[in-house]
Amino acid sequence: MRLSRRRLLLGASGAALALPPLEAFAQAAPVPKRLVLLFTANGTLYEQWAPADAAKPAGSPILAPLAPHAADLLPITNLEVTSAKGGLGDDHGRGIAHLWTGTAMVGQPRGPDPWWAGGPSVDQVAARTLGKDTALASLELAVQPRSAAVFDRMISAGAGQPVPPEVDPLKVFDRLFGARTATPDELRRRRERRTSVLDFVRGELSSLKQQVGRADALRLEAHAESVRAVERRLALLAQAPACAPFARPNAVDVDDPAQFEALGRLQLDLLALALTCDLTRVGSVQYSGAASPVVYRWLGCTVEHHELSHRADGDADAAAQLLSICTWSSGEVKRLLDALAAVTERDGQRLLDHTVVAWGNELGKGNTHSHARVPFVLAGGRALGLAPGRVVDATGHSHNDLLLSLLQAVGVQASSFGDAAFCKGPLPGLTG
Amino acid sequence: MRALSLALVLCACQAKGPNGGVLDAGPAPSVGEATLRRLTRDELDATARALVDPTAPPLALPADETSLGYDTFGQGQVVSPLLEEALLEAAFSLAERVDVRTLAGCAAADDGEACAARLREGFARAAYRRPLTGDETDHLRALLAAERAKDDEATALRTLLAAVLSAPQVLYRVEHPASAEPVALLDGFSVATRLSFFFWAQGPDAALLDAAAAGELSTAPGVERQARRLLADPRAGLAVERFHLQWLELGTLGSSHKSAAFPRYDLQRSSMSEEARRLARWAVLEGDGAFERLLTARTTFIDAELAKLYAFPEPESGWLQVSTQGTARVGALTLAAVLASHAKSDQTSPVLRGKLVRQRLLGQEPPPPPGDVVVSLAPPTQGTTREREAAHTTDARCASCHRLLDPVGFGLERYDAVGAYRPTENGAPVDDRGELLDALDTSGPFTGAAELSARLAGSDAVRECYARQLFRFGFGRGETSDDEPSVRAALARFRDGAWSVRELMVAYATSDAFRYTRQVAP
Repeated sequence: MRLSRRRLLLGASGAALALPPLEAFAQAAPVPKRLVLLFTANGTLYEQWAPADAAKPAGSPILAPLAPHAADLLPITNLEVTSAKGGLGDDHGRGIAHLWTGTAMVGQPRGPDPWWAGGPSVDQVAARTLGKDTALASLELAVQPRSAAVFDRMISAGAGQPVPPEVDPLKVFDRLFGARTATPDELRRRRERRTSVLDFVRGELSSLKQQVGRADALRLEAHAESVRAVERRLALLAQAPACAPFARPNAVDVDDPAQFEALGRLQLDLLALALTCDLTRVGSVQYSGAASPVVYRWLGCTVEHHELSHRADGDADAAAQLLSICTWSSGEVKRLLDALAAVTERDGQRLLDHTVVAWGNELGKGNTHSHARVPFVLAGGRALGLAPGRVVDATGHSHNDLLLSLLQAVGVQASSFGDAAFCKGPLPGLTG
Repeated sequence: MRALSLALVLCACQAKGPNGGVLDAGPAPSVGEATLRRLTRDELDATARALVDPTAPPLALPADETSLGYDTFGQGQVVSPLLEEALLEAAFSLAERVDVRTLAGCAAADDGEACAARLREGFARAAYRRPLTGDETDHLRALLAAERAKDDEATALRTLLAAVLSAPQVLYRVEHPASAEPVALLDGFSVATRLSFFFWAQGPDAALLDAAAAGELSTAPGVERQARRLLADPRAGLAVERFHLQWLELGTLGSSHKSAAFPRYDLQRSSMSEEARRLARWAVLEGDGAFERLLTARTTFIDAELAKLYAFPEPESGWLQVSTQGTARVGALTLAAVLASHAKSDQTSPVLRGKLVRQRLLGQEPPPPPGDVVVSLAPPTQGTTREREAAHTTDARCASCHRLLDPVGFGLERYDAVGAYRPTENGAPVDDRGELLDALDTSGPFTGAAELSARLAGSDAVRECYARQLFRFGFGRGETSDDEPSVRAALARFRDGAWSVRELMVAYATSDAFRYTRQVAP
């Protein structure tokens, strides 16, 4: 009998998790590798962010909330997002579009043409390999992005193909678990009806492709890919015994500024749950977007984040507010690491050890719009060859090297990533 | 500098063509290359209400990617797995809301086969916005046959309906030329679709499809007749609202944050947005529809929240149109929606307001700020905005650009960060003198919102920029040099029509860029 890993029992809090007894089949299969990307905006206060002691990766005011996970942390200092230092777009937009793609944007420098990220983001490349056997090849989540423009899109399926995130935890929950309330027979018939319609859609798309130009045909092909992804999700969800989740979250007003923190926590919890239940192996959570205008009222902030980030270095009031925002972000990341560390995999290691978490930002410093010293933190990945628990100095390297390292860590064969001019090879020092 | 660092949307009003400005020679009409467009979230909602159930709630689809501030651009809009799932679930929910036999207009005497045929020939024709081809009919037949083998008749019909609603022919606006020339007239159904989405933000009604079938849309006068009919219909409201909200950059109002100094803001946002919609509809669709009405209206629409914000008497219930003679409200630039979304969280922003005027009304593109200049302004509890922002114009590196922005926004300083009127700031009277520097035919000093708005409303440069913005929204792409003849012709008709926005819309609908297509290699 085949036993799925998905047959999990989650406590009401979603915290205490135990995998089911192992069977030969499951033991034979390797534990899946996972990749998670996190985003917070507007740069950092570098001196307060960078740990002074290379052996103490949580040893800075901003990273202090992550101290319980110090042994899992891998902050990367002095890393430059070189590809974003010039080219199309403005500093913030370029920052977020380059963050996970390391590729120049597409569009026209002047005139009415729009611009978008110029290549696939690292998670989408990883998902082509890691996502083959899961219900969702990848799961994109965001917390109150301001818009659906280039500033609020960090994930990209390819040049000019931004991938929208889901902003409503309730919809995320239903997408992951929703249909489980019906009886198995009802579920089967629902699935079959949807599959019939999807087959039909795929057939019609391939006829339409003959009637349009090449660029449009590429978009229709990408749509057909999405149809296949949904079909696969339906099939795999049907096979999987329930991974009983915590209760369906209550509806939250996704536009209410007072709910920012609550929405973020729900998204993090749902991502952790999706990874735990192996519904996906690739995920991301984007807090707001580039040039985030969030007013962190619950931290005592009086001014929007972007505005604060532009105040002069000597502005004590701004520095205090920024410090509280950046430190708060670390605390939220800790929440995700807690959840991933609470799950024990069948090899006895934690889910966190089989996951590379990468946390980035569109800028290094807000008031100069610098793409140097962008605050990157990796976490986890011990079972994937990373050697966390220290600080890596990446002086002289571009972040394309880091992106390549992320791919290699999760087992994707690659020798370069993004704009090859900025990629020298995997970033040294990450793997012990 | 720092305030300028917000996203600079590329919006130069002088289009540069892909061919470096060289126009095609020869007799063929000159039109830019169109992109395959997919229906936007708003358009899909409107389509669901029109086709299936007028009481259907919004389909809860993810937000559409925007380019140049517009959600109509085909470029950048790829159907992700997330969207495909949402579309699929929306199609099934819609199908579950209705009795399919009733929707298809089936008579009691119709057997399953006859009823399915009615669905294909009636409902599906409306959904596909043209009669189905033989292949398309066969595909739907096959799907129904397969479903009947697994489900009862009513359920099978429901799945058929969900399939029609999910069809890419519905989601995308695939266009067909009427002939094989490199630049060819579009066939009637393609023109009908362009017309209905341009004027109604939804698919054609039966009359428009009939006109297409009868060949009436192959001539400019035929198109104009239908354009005027559509424009006179109440359904024209949605498209007009959509354009003006996006033109004035109000799309992010719903997700904007204000500081605790504005505790009612979260309650006011949706009212602000509704007021902007109503004003746009009134300006364009009522009276003579003159462009200047948008900017100089001495009327607006309020509910209880806005009455509080504007210090107007509260309406007894719902919405009320009121005169704003003798008040601080004059047209679009004094809408709370515009003022609040072009302000900071805790104070006004002359920079953001100036940038709105430069980019969206004058079509001028301020250069990005220098990255190496850091300015910390005093907190908003001290002095006036004008005093605090002086640093922008005393530092030469900042001044070259900020002189174009700040003095425009200073003219709107009597409206605070949520758009409420304030004659004083921190105890000092607000000086609302401003200046438009290097601003084409609007250049010169002015005082306050009314004079600024009147200046802009009477400007040829502003009218041209507005017309180009409408092109981008309406055609779902930037104009290229190949489109210039159509833009020029539309501008001429705009002028000859006493600057009526409705005439401009009709002019675009009858332009070469609208009626012809440039064929691209498959």
